[in-house]
Amino acid sequence: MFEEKYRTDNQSIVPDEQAKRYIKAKIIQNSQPKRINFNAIIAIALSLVLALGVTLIAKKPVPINQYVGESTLMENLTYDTIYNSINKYMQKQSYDSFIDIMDDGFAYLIGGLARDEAATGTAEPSAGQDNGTVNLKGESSTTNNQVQGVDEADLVKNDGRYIYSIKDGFLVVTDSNNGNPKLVTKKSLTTGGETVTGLYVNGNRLAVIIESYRFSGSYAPNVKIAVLDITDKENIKVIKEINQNGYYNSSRMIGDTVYLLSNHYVRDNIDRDKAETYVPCVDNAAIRETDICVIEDFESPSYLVVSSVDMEKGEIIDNTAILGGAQNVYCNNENLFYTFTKNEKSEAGGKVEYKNETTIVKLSLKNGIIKTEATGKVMGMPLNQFSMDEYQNNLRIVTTVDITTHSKSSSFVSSADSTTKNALYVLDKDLKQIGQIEDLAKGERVYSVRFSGEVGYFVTFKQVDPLFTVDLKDPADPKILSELKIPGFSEYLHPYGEGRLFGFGKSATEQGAVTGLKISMFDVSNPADVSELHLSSVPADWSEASETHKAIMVDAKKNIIAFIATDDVAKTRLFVYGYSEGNGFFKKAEAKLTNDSFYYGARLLWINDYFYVVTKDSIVTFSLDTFEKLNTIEF
Amino acid sequence: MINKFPENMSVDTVFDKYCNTVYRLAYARVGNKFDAEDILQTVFLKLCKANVCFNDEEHLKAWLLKVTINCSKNLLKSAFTKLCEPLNDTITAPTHEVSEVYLQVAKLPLKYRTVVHLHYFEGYSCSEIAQITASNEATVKTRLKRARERLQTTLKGEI
Repeated sequence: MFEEKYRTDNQSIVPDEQAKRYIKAKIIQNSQPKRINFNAIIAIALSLVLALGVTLIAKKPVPINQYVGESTLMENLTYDTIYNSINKYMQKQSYDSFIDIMDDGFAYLIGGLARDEAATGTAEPSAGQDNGTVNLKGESSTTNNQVQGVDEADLVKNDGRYIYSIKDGFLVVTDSNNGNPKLVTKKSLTTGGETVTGLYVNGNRLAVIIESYRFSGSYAPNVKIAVLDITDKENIKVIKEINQNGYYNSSRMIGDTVYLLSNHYVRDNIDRDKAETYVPCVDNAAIRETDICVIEDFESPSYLVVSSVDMEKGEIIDNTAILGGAQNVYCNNENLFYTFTKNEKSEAGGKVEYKNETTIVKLSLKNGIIKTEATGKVMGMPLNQFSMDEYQNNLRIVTTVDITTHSKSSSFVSSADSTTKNALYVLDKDLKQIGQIEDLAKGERVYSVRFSGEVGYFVTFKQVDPLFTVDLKDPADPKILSELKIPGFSEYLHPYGEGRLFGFGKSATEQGAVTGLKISMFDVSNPADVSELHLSSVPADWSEASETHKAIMVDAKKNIIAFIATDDVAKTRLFVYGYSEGNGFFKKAEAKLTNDSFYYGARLLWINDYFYVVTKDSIVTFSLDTFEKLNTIEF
Repeated sequence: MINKFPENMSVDTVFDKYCNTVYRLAYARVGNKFDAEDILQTVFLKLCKANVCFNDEEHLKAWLLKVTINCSKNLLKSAFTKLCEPLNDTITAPTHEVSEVYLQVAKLPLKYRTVVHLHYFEGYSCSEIAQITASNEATVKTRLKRARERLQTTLKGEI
């Protein structure tokens, strides 16, 4: 009886089909010694290390080879040479299993990760820039962008009067109406299988980014940007739609031009006579061969596709595709930098060593014309878009280097074989390394970075949080000015007025166990002696602001620090703090919204004298002065 | 290259045949699908790298089960697992549908449920289990006896 039942029960305990296929593909790759994809091994090894999680134990630093090779950019290509490069790669790798995994949604994961990372890191380089755009209609806040003048797509946008948000594929336009919002219109933008990822508003134009992962015989990821005429709010019209056949990576709006970035993975059935089988398409036409570059030692046959779109006419200005993959994207008013990281293997004295290296590609953006300028390489991997900053033609980048060593005889990697260290590099306009600080905070990882002109700040964490302050006045000789150690860590840094740096993050015990959310104010007026002036623990455990800068409002001019957070009994509250030199942080409001549910994708904004919390289902308004709750509108 | 697998087998056929076996034992020991999948992957990667030549399929299967036990032991012993709240399957994914019997076995201490699984599901004898778990035959017998005693109180009349 028992035996039978136990057997029957066990029959139903089987791994998911998807997990099974994924693991099988990995194993098959690993069982073919000549075709080993070292990237995959290290990824597994590292994920195991993470799973086993023995990072709490201090590790011996490993001597590493400092040399980082150059990556060469091939330009002025023909379709034939592009085909040959991809074909050569495919012969080398067992690519089928890789693409199988892609189809199982792994690519979506990668795309999603890259996208999330891109979304994770933005805010302005100097204080109080959120209140940048002054509209004819009124004064209002904008998305918490990394760089002033470079807008980032978000789920909620406003133009000083109207609030544009997304609810289940519908565009919702609401008249803010001085704190008493009125629904103007709802317009369906999507068909089945599509999701809206972001909006841009520019005068009487609205751009909507729509992703789809449709399965029509074969797998067909697509990202499109729809340009809408919003002159008549009651009657919004789609002017143009532009499609890229890849996974959405990121986007930016500079002036009237939107740059749309997607990752395109080449499938295994390439055909020399059909360019569209190995070259990405924009609006169903293969990108011209003259607009394609190849990074010579590319790691995966995936392209970054960049299209610039004129918002007024809704027309494509230029397209570019670079073969080599892309993860993090940083963009300022003139240039766009993106990175991709791969693991390098080296062997010396019976030891095998893996470490990660990041290739950086620089594109110039001038009135919508995209040009590939340079490539460079550094050790390690950047955290997010905030890890990079261009200042006086030099790019600064902060990375975490993961190093794994093991002896040749045992190819299985234990956590004790892995360590990390952190580095800062300065690269010139051709992305040649001119200055660096290496071997920082061994065994720790970077949690947040912010540059502010000649000074850079970054936080690493294992048990206590050192906030490093770096002097970058002389790009060839960056210097650590100070290192402040406090428990916990900051996941987002934002300059807050003269000589102050705000940090949003998590508090932790001396042993490194995370206890909850905290906000900190650092005194950075003397970069050589940075101190934590005030801190306040937030009575909550989780906030979307830990994941994306777009979910937090930090406005020094209005003295507002606002975010939504949830505690461990799933109680969600809006928290608004102010800051005064004498008394530190003080709570302006802790308010319940429409209900206690989890507000993923909620955004905060202000227009004139009112503060709005916009979620996909509702808008709640508050007085910007007293933070008294005024009205609620539900769609 | 010498094929280390028994005749007519390769790594993918071994995987197809034994992935459920490994997964079930891992699941019985760690009790959640995420860790069980991790272990499944680790075990087969170890198989790829292992410098052993299997005499026959029985040898291979016993090797896989032994490595599964070691891998799950490592996971359960790690500081990370001890310090963290266990992952709850039901939050993110539907758990496997099982009867009261399985749930009660899952409540047994680790060393008991391992022998129960190997004996009642895999059909190994006490001496074979002793080899796989690297313990004494008498110990296995005692564990199996104690496990039965506990189950008798919780699953009245089933055993």
